[in-house]
Amino acid sequence: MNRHLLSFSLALIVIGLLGVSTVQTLWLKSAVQNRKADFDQRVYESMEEISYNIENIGYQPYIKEFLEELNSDSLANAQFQKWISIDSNSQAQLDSNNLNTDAQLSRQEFNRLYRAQIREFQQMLIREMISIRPIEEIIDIDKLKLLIEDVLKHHGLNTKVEFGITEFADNNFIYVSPGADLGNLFHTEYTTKLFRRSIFDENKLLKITFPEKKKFFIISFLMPILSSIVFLIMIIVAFAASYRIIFKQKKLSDMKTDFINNMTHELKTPIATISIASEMLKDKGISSIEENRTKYANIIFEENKRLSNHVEQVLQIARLEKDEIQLNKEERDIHGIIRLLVKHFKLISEDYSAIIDLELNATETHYIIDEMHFTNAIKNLLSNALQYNDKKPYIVISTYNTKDGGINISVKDNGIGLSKDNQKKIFDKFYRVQGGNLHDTKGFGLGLNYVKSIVEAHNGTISVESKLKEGTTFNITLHK
Amino acid sequence: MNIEPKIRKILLIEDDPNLGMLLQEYLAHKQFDVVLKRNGQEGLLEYRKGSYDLILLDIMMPKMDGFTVAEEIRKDDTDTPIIFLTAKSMKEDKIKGLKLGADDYITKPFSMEILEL
Repeated sequence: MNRHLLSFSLALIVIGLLGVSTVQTLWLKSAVQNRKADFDQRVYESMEEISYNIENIGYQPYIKEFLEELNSDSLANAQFQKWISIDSNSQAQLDSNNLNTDAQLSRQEFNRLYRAQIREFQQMLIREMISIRPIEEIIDIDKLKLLIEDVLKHHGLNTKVEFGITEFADNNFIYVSPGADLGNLFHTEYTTKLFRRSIFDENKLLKITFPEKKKFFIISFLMPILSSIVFLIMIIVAFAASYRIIFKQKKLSDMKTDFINNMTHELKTPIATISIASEMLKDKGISSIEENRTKYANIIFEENKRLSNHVEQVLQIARLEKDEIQLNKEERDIHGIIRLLVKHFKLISEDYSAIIDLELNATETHYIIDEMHFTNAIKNLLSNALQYNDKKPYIVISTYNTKDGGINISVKDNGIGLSKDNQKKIFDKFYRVQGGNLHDTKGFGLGLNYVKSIVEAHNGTISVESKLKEGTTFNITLHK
Repeated sequence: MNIEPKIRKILLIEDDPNLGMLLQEYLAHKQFDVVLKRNGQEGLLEYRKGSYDLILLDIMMPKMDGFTVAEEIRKDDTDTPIIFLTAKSMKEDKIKGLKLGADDYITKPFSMEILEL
């Protein structure tokens, strides 16, 4: 049921994450659309503003210049003089009348008419001249460029702009900004009359394109998109990490359950044996025979020893866990220790009819070690080599000195070997290659964990090489 | 249990040598005919060879565990009583054992009176 809850919450998280990413995507999509509309809106506003301001940089200076020219222009002057001559006659008349009131009025009337006529004349000329003048003379292109860029920037459209000016027809470009793409300019939707308020020249169109519009959009959405992705990744990573921890914990707790089961089995079996043996001793019919008494007493003695061994082993690991291990380090001959151990070990492992070979090649063999723990560690490796073997055990213990003056001790067997997966785990506390109820080998899953702790307490290292069905080699390296 | 009068031949499957030997001697002393096997596989083979009135079965054993042995036996024999002898004392294990068709369940350490039925 725990597992159900776990997969249920995993499903919820996956659905939740998918939901969040979908919502984010949809939101971004609509945001992009809004942004596009907003962009267009800004461009249209900008273009309106541009066309108002063009009159400042384009027309008005030109008109001023034209009016100045007008005074000196002979052709225009001739026409003008004709007007003036009519005027001067009446002017002379007026002058002679010596500023009477009627004359005053008629002079004002004259001025009004005179100015209107001049304006009409000017406009006619301007229209004619502008339409034939090259665009560069009508409008200062550099200023126009600056104006366009300024206005767009002011409207928050800080991206590269290209523009062109057409006259009479959509594709009749009379000006194109350097490097601009004609096709884009032709198809652009951003178009406005160049002289919008002008009555003189209404055939010229200003067209604008943004060659880096896409880039502009991407950049303006880069932050929200990136941060969404980063946050999503953060959530996924955090969940993955939590799940890893949960599974690790679950595995550990499984391993502990296995250990407890195993321990109860290992502890209860001798207890049961002792209890039966003592009951049999109590039975007069059985215990009256001398031979039986010795046999059962021996069994009780043996089982009791087994019990205390188990208890000692568990306590040892408990002490290791609390870092309470007290190493009694002294200089010892490692080869001597190995030889002695093997001699004892051969006695206790007679059942297995194992062959243990020594290849002790190290020349420097004196190291500062705790004899008892070191012996136990090697013994653990030996008993593993015996137990995890389905053939006639053949064990080789070899040593050699390392370049930096250390010593390498290896225990090689021809046993069942370890899978890659198991090789990683065998040093873990409580880990047993075989879990569950199958008990080919006895143990608590503490042996190699103990070996590793002891080797590390000696500042040494331990490693394992193994191949399934071929055997396993443990390498211990101790430093000088 | 009214099977007691009929039981004469017991198959004992227990991997611990001392415990197995003791149980065997004890039951022999109680006039039972006991055959001892050291692991599940051998036990199952022995069961198929002879006919037994009762099977005493350990759970944690080499080669084949007690649950598997019981399962195999129950496949074609629902009559022979099976009693688990085990150190495992957890509820799930008991339920598992009884579901597989065991007749009783004795946890170690047990007193001999229980075995005497």
